[in-house]
Amino acid sequence: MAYELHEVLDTVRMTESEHFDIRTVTLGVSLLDCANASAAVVCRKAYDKIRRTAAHQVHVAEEVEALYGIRIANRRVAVTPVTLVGGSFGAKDFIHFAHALDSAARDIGIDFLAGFSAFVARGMHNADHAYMEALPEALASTRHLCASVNCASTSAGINVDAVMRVSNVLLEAAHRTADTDSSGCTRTVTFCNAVPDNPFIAGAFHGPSLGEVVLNVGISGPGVILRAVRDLPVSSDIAAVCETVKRTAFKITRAGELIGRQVARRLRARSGVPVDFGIVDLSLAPTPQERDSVGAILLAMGLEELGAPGTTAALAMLTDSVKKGGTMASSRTGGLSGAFIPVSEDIALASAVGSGQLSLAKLEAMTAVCSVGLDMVALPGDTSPEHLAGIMLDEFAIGMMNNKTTACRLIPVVGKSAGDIAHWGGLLGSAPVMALPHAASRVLVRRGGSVPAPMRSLTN
Amino acid sequence: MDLQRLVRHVAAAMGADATADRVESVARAILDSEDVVQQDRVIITAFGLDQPGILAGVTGIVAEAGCNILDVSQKILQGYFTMIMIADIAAMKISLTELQGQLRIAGPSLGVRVGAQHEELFARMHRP
Repeated sequence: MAYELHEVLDTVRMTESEHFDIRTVTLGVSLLDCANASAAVVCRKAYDKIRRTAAHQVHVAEEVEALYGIRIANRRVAVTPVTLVGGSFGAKDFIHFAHALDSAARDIGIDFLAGFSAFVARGMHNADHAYMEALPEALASTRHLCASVNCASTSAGINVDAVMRVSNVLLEAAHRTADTDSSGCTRTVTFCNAVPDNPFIAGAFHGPSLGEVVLNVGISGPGVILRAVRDLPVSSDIAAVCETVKRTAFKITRAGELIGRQVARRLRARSGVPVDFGIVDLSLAPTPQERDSVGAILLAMGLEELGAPGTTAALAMLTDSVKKGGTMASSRTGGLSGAFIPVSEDIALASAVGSGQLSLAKLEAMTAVCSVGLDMVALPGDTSPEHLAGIMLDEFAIGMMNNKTTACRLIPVVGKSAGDIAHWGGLLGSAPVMALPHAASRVLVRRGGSVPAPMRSLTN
Repeated sequence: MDLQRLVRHVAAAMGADATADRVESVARAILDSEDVVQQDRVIITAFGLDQPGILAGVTGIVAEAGCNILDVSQKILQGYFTMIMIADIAAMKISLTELQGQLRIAGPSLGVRVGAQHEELFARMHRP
């Protein structure tokens, strides 16, 4: 027999009972060739191009799903950041653009389309101002569209003015989507050091250096790692835990790359569009299901509760081991690659927040070693813009100083206060609204201007 | 894809332009491409409580579909039936999805869970 029994059982068990799935196959589509002086022309060309390029994405993903018996949870599209395509746009134009992109997503049958994005780490163009003005309405009047704003980077510093502006925009979006627990903010990420090939929503966009059409894969698999860690005896030392995570990450990355290449190849054959395979993002992305939780892995590693001393260290080991295993498995790893800690999407994290074990301060510490940041964190609806900006500044400072991506997906839930539960449904799950420290930093954030780029930026 | 078939395809596609060197270089490029599925084989697995006729039942469906069974391994551990079968599906008369559907339907009557996944997945996960 070409395979050992335990190898075959291992794979079958992963795919059937441990929630190993491909979280997303995300087709990155360049819209640079849709640029035009007329916004109406841009909207039409962008809609047509997405329809044409991604027409077979859903069907091909189903075929590959059946071929390997691995579920592909989501099919998504990421486009060139709209502020690059619509450099001459006014606010109304961006709203029309948002609607065109949302219609394209709906018509090809995908759940999310991302790339409604702006890059303002050092300053804002005219289009960025128009974009900010349009963003609340764009989010409130669409269902599939995802937005991201890169406000900071290690090379540029933090644009505090932009952070304040985004805070006000987020609060307005929260009010405009108040009837769905401010769901507009669940589709908006703010970044420090955003990456151009991230396949995960809501922060995906198709970076201008990536080529015409690229298929990126985001793998999941907390359930698989959880089982492997749980199977270890308590007497196993920390090196054994890391080794187990690495070995498991290796296997799921291999499967992810295989699926990504197959989907790209079949899309190429089916549509005639030259679709390149891009990267595998081997992020452990939890879902609200019981055994599909990053928090549960940290508990299995030996924490008594999430938020207890040792939590940051456990997460650091997990993130690093996942990266190491994945890097050995594929030379095409990229994106964010590590472990996500989206509170509402992870049942163990959400429950630790609910019981008060996990505070916002501890979550922030954890983001220094996870792959992204404060993700899907519900805040009181009466959070002030200065408070929101202060949280983002802290998060971006971590990213800027450590040369890593950090992000915020903060949801001020209108009409709810600390301890209430916000519900968004589906993969987004639900989360308890977290209490904020009473004091903000009004004077600091109102000073405006930019945090200068750190010493680390001077590497040339 | 076997080598002879590949070379024949390439030569036929090139028509009058086919020289030994050119056919070889194209065939090599195809083989080097990581995208090519090297073999068309599936791994069929069945797990469940042991009862007579499981192997016969699964084999019947696979043979009827026109697959060539290459290897079978079966073990009974404490009354629990485990079967792994490798089958070549290159000449299969139905689609893989249809085969998977037939196996899924037959499972409950045989008292097992049966599934088929392309072999490449196992090769990728467990072989360097």
